[in-house]
Amino acid sequence: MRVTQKMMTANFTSYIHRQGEGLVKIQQKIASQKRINTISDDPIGMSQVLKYRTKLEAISQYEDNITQGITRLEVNEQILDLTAELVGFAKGVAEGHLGLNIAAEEKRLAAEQIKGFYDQIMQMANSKFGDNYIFSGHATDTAPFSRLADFSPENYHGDDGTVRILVSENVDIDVDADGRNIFMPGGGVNIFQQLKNLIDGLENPDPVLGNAQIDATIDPLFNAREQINNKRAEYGPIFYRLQATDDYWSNLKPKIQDALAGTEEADIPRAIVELQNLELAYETTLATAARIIQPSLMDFLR
Amino acid sequence: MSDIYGVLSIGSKALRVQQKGIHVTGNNIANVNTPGYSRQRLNMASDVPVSSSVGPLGSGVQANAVERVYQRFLGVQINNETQGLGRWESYKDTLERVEMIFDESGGHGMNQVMSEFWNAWQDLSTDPSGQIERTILVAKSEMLAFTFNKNYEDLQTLQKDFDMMITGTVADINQLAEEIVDLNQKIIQIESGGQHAANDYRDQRDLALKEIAALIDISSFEAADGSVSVSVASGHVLVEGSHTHVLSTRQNAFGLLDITWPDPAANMVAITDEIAGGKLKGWLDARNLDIRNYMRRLDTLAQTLMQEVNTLHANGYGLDGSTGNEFFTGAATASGVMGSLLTITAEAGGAGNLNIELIAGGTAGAETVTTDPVTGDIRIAIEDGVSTRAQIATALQNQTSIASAVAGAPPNTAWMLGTGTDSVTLTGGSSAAGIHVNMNIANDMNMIAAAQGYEAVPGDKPGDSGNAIAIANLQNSLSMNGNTSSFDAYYNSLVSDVGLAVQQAGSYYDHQSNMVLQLENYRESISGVSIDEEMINLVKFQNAYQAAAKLITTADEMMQSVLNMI
Repeated sequence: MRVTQKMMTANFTSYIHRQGEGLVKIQQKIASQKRINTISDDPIGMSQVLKYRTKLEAISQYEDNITQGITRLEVNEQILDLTAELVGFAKGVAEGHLGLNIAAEEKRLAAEQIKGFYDQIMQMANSKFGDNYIFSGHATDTAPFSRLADFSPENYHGDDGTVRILVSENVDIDVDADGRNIFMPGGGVNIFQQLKNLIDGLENPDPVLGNAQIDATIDPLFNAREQINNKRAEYGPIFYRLQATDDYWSNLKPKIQDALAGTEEADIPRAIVELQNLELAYETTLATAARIIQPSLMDFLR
Repeated sequence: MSDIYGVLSIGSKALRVQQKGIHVTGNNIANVNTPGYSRQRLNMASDVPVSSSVGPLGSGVQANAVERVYQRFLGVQINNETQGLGRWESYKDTLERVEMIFDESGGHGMNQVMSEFWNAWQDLSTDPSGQIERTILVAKSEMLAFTFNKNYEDLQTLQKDFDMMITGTVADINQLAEEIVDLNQKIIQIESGGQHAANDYRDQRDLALKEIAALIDISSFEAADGSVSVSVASGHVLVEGSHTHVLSTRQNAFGLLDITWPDPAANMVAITDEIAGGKLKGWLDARNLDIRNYMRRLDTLAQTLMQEVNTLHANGYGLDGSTGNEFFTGAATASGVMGSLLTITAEAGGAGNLNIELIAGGTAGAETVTTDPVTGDIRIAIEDGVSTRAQIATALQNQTSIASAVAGAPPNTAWMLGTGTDSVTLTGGSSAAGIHVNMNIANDMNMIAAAQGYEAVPGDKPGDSGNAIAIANLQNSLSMNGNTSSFDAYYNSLVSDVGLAVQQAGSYYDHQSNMVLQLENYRESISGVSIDEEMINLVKFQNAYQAAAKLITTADEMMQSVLNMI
């Protein structure tokens, strides 16, 4: 084959461009620590990367939702715990003031104490989580409970809406937010009404009638404690479900992160070996070019 | 004639011929780097012998012609492969620019923005009345809309950019055509006697042909007089002897440039679809098929997302009790005038720019409507002269994407293809370009419908997150591709397709450039100038020249001897 200088230069140019391209790619790979720097580096891999990223974003969001839900349940738990305790105290007060020979003054003081309990329980029933009332269903901008000046409770102001916590794709966990179910369920004990009855009994100027009134509150107050504790027991499984889902996500997350890294990230030691190979090839090409392009017959003709 | 004068004559002829040889060699060396140059060589032959007593006696050397060393077949092959190279080169460059628009590798693309959009709805579901959550949702939604707008507009700009390159390329082709005509004339002149070959002009013409081949597909043949005729784009004559057909461009219905060719009656005929090679093919393919396809898919995504979110949002209630509000606005509308007879007026409808084309081959009353899977163009096959406008309208109304845009009952007259305008474009804007958050909602975030219900008593339902959850769940619903894939998956497959197209174009380009390099090497191997070879030739001719000079000296000495004898 006839070989001309132009052929050799054209070939060298082409090789050097090709090797240059390879060097740029590997440099980019090492600098960015990523295997996929443009979509076309690995289109299928890229779509997997996008899938993993979306999944990770979604998982963080579910975890945030769950954290919110758990915090809310913990607040609920505290409120109910305190309420149960206060109701227990009230029952104790009622039991301690049964009998006809208790001084009116003593009863009056006890009534004041119960009024304190009443307001504290109502305050807790009207607790807020952030800016929102916890026990008013969906009417989160409305305080669910209120009383008249004579301590008779007013009707519930909220509704029966539930709080929905999105924990997974299309799965949400409902948390009861209807305050009536805790404080004045249909067929259950209306705690505020019983406390009001107890106050009335303690303040009744007729000791016999008053005593009967006080006695009538003891059983309902006992049941009220039960009622509250049952509600707490109801929150238990929800709490457990949230926690379990959270655990599930925190187990899955590192696996997806691994998969993402495996698809997206560059194998640096390998990239460096590749770089060394390319470097060697590049330098050899240059050295060869320098040797072959330069001499011609002219160098030897005198 | 075997006398001393004969020897002198041989010597002088030899001097002249060897000098010509040095001239040709010198010319080769001078043109070693000239593109398209084929090395030349001097054809030498022994001169007509003279009769003598010992039989015919050679009378020296003669130079017949300077010819170029060239293989015609290789030239044709190089032109063909150069068409392919030009095509894949421009196609690859274009798609690489598209790839930049869809750059997801850094994690700041549409994929991320969509995730953030859905997450913002989830955040709202954890505190449906929260003002911060609402503000963030609006911001994320605007970001999503903006990303749609930007990607779509970038693709549009890219399409327009190619028009500038196409205009420039068409001008280049015309200029090269002029050059070929010019060279044709020179070659005819030089070669008219049939004795000499116009080597350098032919080289230049071959180069010009190769340059055209890089821009557009050509076929060429040489006439007996040495002039070459060139046709482009599957047989449209560009150069015929000393006449050129000047290509030009004109805007088509999409606002993009078509390439036109003047037919013998000087009508400008669009040849865009017939171009089969060269850079023009690459640009046109990318512009008319790939980019349009990506735009359409982006558009469909925006359209469906908008629809799904809006439907749910309209069913929900805002903090202020408002309901029935659209969350996003800016859906595409299809409008336009279809020819002079069929009128398409109403709004609402299809994704992107719709092109409706009437073609032959249908049956009246059962006009077939087909949608191009790549570009989304709608074609309706009609029975020429029999299908009525009413039938065409009915068929078009069955296309959900444009149904509302087609006039209900146009006059009942038969439609003839080729009379008036039978191809029409509905430029109805695009959802991806138009999508934005409802201004009213952006201004009054209480209108965001997070709640599924609303009650006057005991009050509104600020704690109801049902609708926010429903909208957040759209992320996983199979809304795209005829309810087979989610929004994310649909977009991801678009990204993958762009990547695959770039990868494919890249490998075609590499293959093609290797092929052209190989062919160029072959050509070089035959026609290229080798400095070493020319040096050898130089020495060879110089030696011959010196020897011929010695011959003359010898003859002179012989002559002196003869004279001295007297």
